[in-house]
Amino acid sequence: MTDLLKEVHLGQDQIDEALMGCLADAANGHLDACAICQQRVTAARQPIEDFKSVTMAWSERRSATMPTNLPTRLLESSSRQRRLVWGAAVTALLAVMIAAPLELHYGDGHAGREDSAELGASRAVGSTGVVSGQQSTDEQIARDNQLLNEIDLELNSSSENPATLGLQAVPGRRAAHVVAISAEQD
Amino acid sequence: MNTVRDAERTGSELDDIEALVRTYRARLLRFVTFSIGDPDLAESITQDCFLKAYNGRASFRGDCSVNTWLTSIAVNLIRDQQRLQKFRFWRQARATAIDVTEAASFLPSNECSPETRMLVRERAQQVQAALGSLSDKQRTVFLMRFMEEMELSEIAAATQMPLNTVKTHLHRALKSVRAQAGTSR
Ligand SMILES: [Zn+2]
Repeated sequence: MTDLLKEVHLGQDQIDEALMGCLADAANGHLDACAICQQRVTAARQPIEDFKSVTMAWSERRSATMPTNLPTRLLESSSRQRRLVWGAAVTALLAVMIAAPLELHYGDGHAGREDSAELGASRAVGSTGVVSGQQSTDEQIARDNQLLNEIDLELNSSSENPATLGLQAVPGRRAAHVVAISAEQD
Repeated sequence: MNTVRDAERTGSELDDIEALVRTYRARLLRFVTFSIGDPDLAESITQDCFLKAYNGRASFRGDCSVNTWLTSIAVNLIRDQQRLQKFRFWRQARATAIDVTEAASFLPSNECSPETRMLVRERAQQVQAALGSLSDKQRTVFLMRFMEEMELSEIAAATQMPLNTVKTHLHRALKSVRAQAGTSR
């Protein structure tokens, strides 16, 4: 029986399957009993094992040059970033809430209506354009919506973009990934 | 290295991000680097991967090793980048960015003779050259099986490929490694 098995050595595809870990039972039985095929499998595995150890040596070196305290900074800056963005958002909203009633008050039958409207608008969002009456209210709403959208975008990007969470590449190294993401978003 | 893969890890291991990075970063960096052929970009993707893993640690069910889980996250990030096509992969100029010859000198010198070291270097170069001739998918599957020691079923799940496709890619990759060994003899 053993002699018979040894006469039919594993084919190249079966050697590959042995490496891949999916060799059929019958062929596995031959491999267990055949020193020649065992040697062929070992020889086929050798370059891969060498590549594995060499690249691991390379990667350990390279990894050691990456920032070690990165995760902590990342998490801290993540919450700080959020607080900053929220702070800015709340300030902007307060400005809108204060400016809008002012605008309505001065705009209602007041002699200096256009000037006041302009004042209200510029107080609200720093606009320099001259607007008046109903147009002022519509544009105000549009600007408020735009502002809220921008806050939304800012919050989303600050939670997803690693660049804003302190994940920039090591100084002097190219941050191609971040650049690529920015390009995609553009 | 095998102890890391063999040990069944629990979700609590993921709570300590510093330990997580310390334990797995070199290995993950190797996987990403040799998947895309660009060490700088690989660093960035590796960091993204840890961020994603940490933020999504609640979804880790413990039905595979942490390394397999991290590798699966990395595969998705790499695929996203490949879709962007904003940079060039292995077959282009970046393939020369990793100097395996130089890397071979990092191997512990007390373990082998200069002759053995030279052989190791040669064979590692053959595999690197073979990787350069593969498609993105073939290369990723090869690295998952032979560097990360993932089961074929785990590779199929992580790459969303049928098991037979995974096998076909591996056959092709091994054929390429053999061809490289043949040409340099
Ligand atoms: Zn045999």
